[in-house]
Amino acid sequence: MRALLAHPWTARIGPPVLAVACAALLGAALVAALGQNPFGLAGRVWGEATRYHGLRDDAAYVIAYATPLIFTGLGVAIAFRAGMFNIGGQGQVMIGGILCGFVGWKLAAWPAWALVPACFAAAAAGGAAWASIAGALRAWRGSHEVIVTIMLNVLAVALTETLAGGRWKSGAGMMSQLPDVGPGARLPRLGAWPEGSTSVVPVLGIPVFPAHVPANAAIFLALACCVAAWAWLWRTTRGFELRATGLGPEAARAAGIPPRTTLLIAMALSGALAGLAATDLVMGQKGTWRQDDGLAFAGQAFIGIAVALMGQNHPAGIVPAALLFGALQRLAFLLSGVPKDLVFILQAAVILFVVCGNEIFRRALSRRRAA
Amino acid sequence: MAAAVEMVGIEKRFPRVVANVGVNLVVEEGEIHALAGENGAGKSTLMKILCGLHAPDAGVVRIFGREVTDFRPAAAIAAGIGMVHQHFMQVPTLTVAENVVLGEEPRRGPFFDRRRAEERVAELGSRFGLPVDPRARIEDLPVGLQQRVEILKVLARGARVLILDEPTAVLTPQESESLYATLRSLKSQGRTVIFISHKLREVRAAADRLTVLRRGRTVGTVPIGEVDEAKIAEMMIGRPVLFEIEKTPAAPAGAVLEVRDLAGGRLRGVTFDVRAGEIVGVAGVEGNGQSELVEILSGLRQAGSGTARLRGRELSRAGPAAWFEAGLGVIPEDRNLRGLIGEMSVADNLILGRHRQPRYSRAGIVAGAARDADAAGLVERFDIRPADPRAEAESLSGGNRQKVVVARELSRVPGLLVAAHPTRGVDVGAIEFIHRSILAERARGAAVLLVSSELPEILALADRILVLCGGAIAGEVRGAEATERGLGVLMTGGAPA
Ligand SMILES: Nc1ncnc2c1ncn2[C@@H]1O[C@H](COP(=O)(O)OP(=O)(O)OP(=O)(O)O)[C@@H](O)[C@H]1O
Ligand SMILES: [Mg+2]
Repeated sequence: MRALLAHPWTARIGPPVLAVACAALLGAALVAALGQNPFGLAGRVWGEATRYHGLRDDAAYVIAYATPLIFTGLGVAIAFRAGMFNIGGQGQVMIGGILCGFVGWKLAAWPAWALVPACFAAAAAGGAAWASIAGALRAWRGSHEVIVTIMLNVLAVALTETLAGGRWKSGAGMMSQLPDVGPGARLPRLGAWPEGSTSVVPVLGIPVFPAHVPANAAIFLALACCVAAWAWLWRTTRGFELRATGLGPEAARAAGIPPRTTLLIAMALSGALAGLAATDLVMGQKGTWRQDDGLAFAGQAFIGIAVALMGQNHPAGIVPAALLFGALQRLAFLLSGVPKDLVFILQAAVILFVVCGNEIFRRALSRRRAA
Repeated sequence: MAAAVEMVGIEKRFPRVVANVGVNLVVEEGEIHALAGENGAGKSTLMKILCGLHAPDAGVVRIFGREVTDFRPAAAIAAGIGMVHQHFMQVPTLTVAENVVLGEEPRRGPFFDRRRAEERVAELGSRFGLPVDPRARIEDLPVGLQQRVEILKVLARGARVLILDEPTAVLTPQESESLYATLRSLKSQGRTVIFISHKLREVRAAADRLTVLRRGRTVGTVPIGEVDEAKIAEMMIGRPVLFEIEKTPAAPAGAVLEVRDLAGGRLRGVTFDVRAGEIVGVAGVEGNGQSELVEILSGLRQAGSGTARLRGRELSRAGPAAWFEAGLGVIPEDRNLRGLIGEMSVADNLILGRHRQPRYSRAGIVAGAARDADAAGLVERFDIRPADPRAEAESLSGGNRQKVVVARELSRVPGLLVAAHPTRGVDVGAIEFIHRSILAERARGAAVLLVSSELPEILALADRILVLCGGAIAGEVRGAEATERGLGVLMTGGAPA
């Protein structure tokens, strides 16, 4: 038990696990306070969840909801590892998204093998450029990135609206929307892959995903980004410099690590990951950039902050954290007889408990190694 | 009468290390008790148990005869224990009085009663012979006075036993003198003092009794009159220690570092050379430009004017990377802030700053195998404990952290070694080792600039000594001809004898 408590992983995995447990208890208490039996509600949710295709629908929805959260969570985590708080995911997703849609439209004739990477690059570049503004201001002018990224969010909404409703607008309709991307830019849905298959993908002969669920191949890009982010942070020299700068800015500077470049790189990467989230919407779901969809989708970036926190800013933690928050979003559709706000309360409770849990574990540890 | 503090059979284990095993310590009321031992011997851990920062795994603690059952800081304070932390817990922008009463402020109605706070601090100060201006802001005070405020704070909370962990590590010799005078006056008022120190001379001068720890165990407790420095060192290390290291005459070659009219901050124009194969010592009362000199010479501060050439390259306004490129190795003044990253492993810290060298970075990828192999080698060569390169730097004892910094910088094979207080907080055995290493650097042909507030250290190592006073060089003395007295006169602005 002692050894278990002292194990370095305990401090990392402990808080999120405890937080989920506490949030569940709180949720049950709330349900009871509303005059309902929590077990009865759980039973109804389970019944609802398994009604049509068993849990397949739910699993597919959870993956669909988790996809953008993985991207934005990773983005927040990278900036955080360098000692910065990037809360501009919203703006970075929007700029990345509109550029992704623009490239997919302008180069619509390109074949998939060329157009897919081009659209990925556009999304990443858009997010990176937008975040770099905050990074550069922080590095060279000392402006706080939180303030700057908030303002950049507002600016991004205005800028995308101007473009999608103006120069780049499609047709004469009322909608602020770009023309559709070329077919080569579409990411296949998990439920219709390989192409031409019916409502479910046969994986090892087992029917898996229903085709009507928006889960798409962007999830593979998200997972690849996790692996890449991990490898970059912990296996490359630059990644080492970024972590060193985050953990000991003065010592890193004294060791000759250029503080400004490092901050800029961290912000650019953070923004690139956030921007890539838009590939899920533009290439995987809608096939175009539509302003109102984009605005709603980019709001996910704020949940990305919670995902990063919950995942302890580690790629391997971010995936389960994103799945958890995806599951909570799915839960909203399955609830009956209680207000859907319960889901928001649960989300908030998880976040709160993780923050408290981290702090408690940190104090417990620093008590052991106090100065 | 019960002893002030009685610790029996104390045991404390950390995940990878046993810090204390069967430690016994008895401190009588009204004595000044010194605690000595090698780096990592478990001194700080033992004191943290006493003041409620750690709970022991086994053993009994009695304070004034009462057994402690609740190991928390609040309980320790209530029992009369007061810890003067090495990293002062103060709010720099508040005044002395505000800091001292923080947490139990006197009030008038709902408001903070500033006047009563100031009176109380002045009263405490005069009662214990610790004068400070209650209205001064902490950030404006020198370290010695900040420490005094910390002591006042502890006294204000009614401490009967004061614990000081390496209180003089960051003090000038003059400030140390006055600290020990303070401790004696506290003793005369019936307070009990326990202090940890690696400076055996001070231990001899200030303590009544001494307890030595080695590798987590008590070696023994002796009245100070019965031991001399050599004996203490032997108790600590388990073998005789050579205080006098034999030093061959220097054979300096061409200038490696050429400094001309260099100014910046408190440094007001200094000119000197450091040649290959010589050690130039910089002596002076702290705050006379040493910090600025070290910062400029390691690229952390841009010079206001003047030039500094390292192997011919003008770098007075360059950053750290350019200095390292030109062949610098530097042991910085503040190892916790600038020398190490606490939450990284010892192995990572050992390559910090060298991580771009081809040996550790192949096509931008960290060469983990080379890093780990070299770390294991350095940990062994420099006797860093625990001998575990994966341990977080933060979990190391103070002296072992310093060894990590020294190990890394020497492994750069520097052309110029700038060493600022290289033996601050390290034990006698390690001091001997670090001094030998610096001499070995000289023998190898490195130029060494040694900045230290320890005159014996400078006298033991330096071939030439520059004395800084008021940001300028007040005099230069050949190492062989220097005496502590002579340097002292120069340091305080007197004419050379
Ligand atoms: N929180 C901790 N976690 C793990 N190991 C620790 C922790 N605190 C101390 N240690 C280990 O316990 C041992 C004793 O450390 P301690 O700080 O008591 O030494 P010390 O005698 O004060 O040394 P120094 O003179 O260098 O300050 C060391 O090996 C140290 O690495
Ligand atoms: Mg210590």
